[in-house]
Amino acid sequence: MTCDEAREQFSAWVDGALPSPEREQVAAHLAACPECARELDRFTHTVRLLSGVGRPRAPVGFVDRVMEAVRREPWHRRALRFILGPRPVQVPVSIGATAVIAALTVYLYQHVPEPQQAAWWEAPPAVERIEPLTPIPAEPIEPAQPGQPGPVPPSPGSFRTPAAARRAPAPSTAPPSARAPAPAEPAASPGALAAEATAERAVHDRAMAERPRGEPEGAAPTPSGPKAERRDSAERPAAPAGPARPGVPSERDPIGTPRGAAPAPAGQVAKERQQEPSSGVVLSRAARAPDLVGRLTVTDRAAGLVALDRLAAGLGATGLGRRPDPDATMVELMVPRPAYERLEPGLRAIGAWEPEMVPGEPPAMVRVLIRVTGQ
Amino acid sequence: MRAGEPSDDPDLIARLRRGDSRAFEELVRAHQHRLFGVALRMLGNPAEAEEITQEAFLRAHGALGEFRGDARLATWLYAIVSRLCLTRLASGERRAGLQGEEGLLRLHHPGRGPDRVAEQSELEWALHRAIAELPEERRIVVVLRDLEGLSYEDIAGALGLELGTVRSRLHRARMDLKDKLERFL
Repeated sequence: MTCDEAREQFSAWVDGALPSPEREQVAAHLAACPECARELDRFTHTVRLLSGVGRPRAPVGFVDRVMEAVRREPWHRRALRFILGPRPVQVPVSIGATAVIAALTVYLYQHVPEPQQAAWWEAPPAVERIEPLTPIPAEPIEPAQPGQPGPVPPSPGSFRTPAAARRAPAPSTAPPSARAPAPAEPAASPGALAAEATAERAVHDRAMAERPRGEPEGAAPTPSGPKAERRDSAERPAAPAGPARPGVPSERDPIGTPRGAAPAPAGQVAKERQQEPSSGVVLSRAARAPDLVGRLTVTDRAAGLVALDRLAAGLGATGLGRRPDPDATMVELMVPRPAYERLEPGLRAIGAWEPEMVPGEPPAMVRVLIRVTGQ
Repeated sequence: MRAGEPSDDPDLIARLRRGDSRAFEELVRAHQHRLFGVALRMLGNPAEAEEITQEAFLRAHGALGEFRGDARLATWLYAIVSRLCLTRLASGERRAGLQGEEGLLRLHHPGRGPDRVAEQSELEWALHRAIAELPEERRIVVVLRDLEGLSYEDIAGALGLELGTVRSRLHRARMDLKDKLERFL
């Protein structure tokens, strides 16, 4: 062992941390090298001096200042320590985290409207009753040709709900058994409602496509002949639907078939009628999510809803439903694309309109969900 | 650990884990000088050392749930304050003011100037200066080993170093000090 190699081991030697074979080698070298032995003495003395150095004392009042700082510790640090810290009964962190997330989810669902709205579209309850909507002038529709199996044209201009319309008697093509209202009608299943909404949208799209050329879409129709008669009846306030005359399409039929289109099978119509609720109006169950969603804040909710009805009538919108809640009323509309541009200006004229979701390219019929809030 | 220092009280640890504020005050009272000493040796500025020591106790307070009892409480606290000191030194965010051995000596001998202190304890003055002049990574090792009495293993754990690195740095630090203190040996 050289002198350098021996001196490299001085620290471990002094601390007694040198393993036995190396210790013996260093000892042998020290015995043969007086210079290294003197160096080891100086080294040992240095370490002894260091261990005798006094320790500084913390300033007076230090403990109080620390404890005061601990008391001022931010709440999130305390909360984190509470969550992650040990408990008298140890709970696995994963279980605790799951419980916290579950509690937060329930809290948010109950207190924030957006999650409720999202859940509403995905997993709605079977049936919800809402107040009937005010009828608005219907678009003129040509009557069915005599002898033609009574296709029911769409009525995009009528502000009505599918369920209310379903309460109307069956069209002439339906067999008597189907036209007869069921005394106790079961709630519509979500699947049936979704199919209904899909059919409804298809009908409206076809109707828009079949508008007479030259007539501006969404323009007020000119009453004449049977059209005027139908318009007059439509302008009357909503009344219990009476039986429709055979061969005359009922404007309260929700799933009208456009002229020239194949009518729905009678059995299907009858089935749909058996599925409708016995009373009230069902807020449309969406086969697709709404295209436009927003919040309309008004000072007087009742007045705001009336104004909204007027706006919808002016736009030729179809009311799909309305659901009053204690703090808001959900209104769902189908607005023809040509009139869609006038919808948001009209909403801003009624109250504070805050769109939350807007369509990129509006479809032929824009599905609109408005959350009306106000006193 | 220096001889004669008590081992951890299991009851104190249990109370600390329960968030007992009195237990934490006991902890601060028992370890305040140790941590402050390390911080002052490393930073040389009493105000900065107090700030870092306070931060170390706050960190400990927030992390008591993580203390598993594998190491002694004192070792755990040394680890916190050591890393805070090294971080502060590396950041360059140093306070202006009393620096180095002058600050240490005033704390040891309050009310006396450096000259008066030096007259009475030239060796002590030389020791403080020699320690303060060590490179930071060697200084923290020699402070923890020779002034605070931690084992090699505890130092390695506290600083996140390999055992061989601790031995090497300690040896270099001691050799530096031996050379600086030559006239006292």
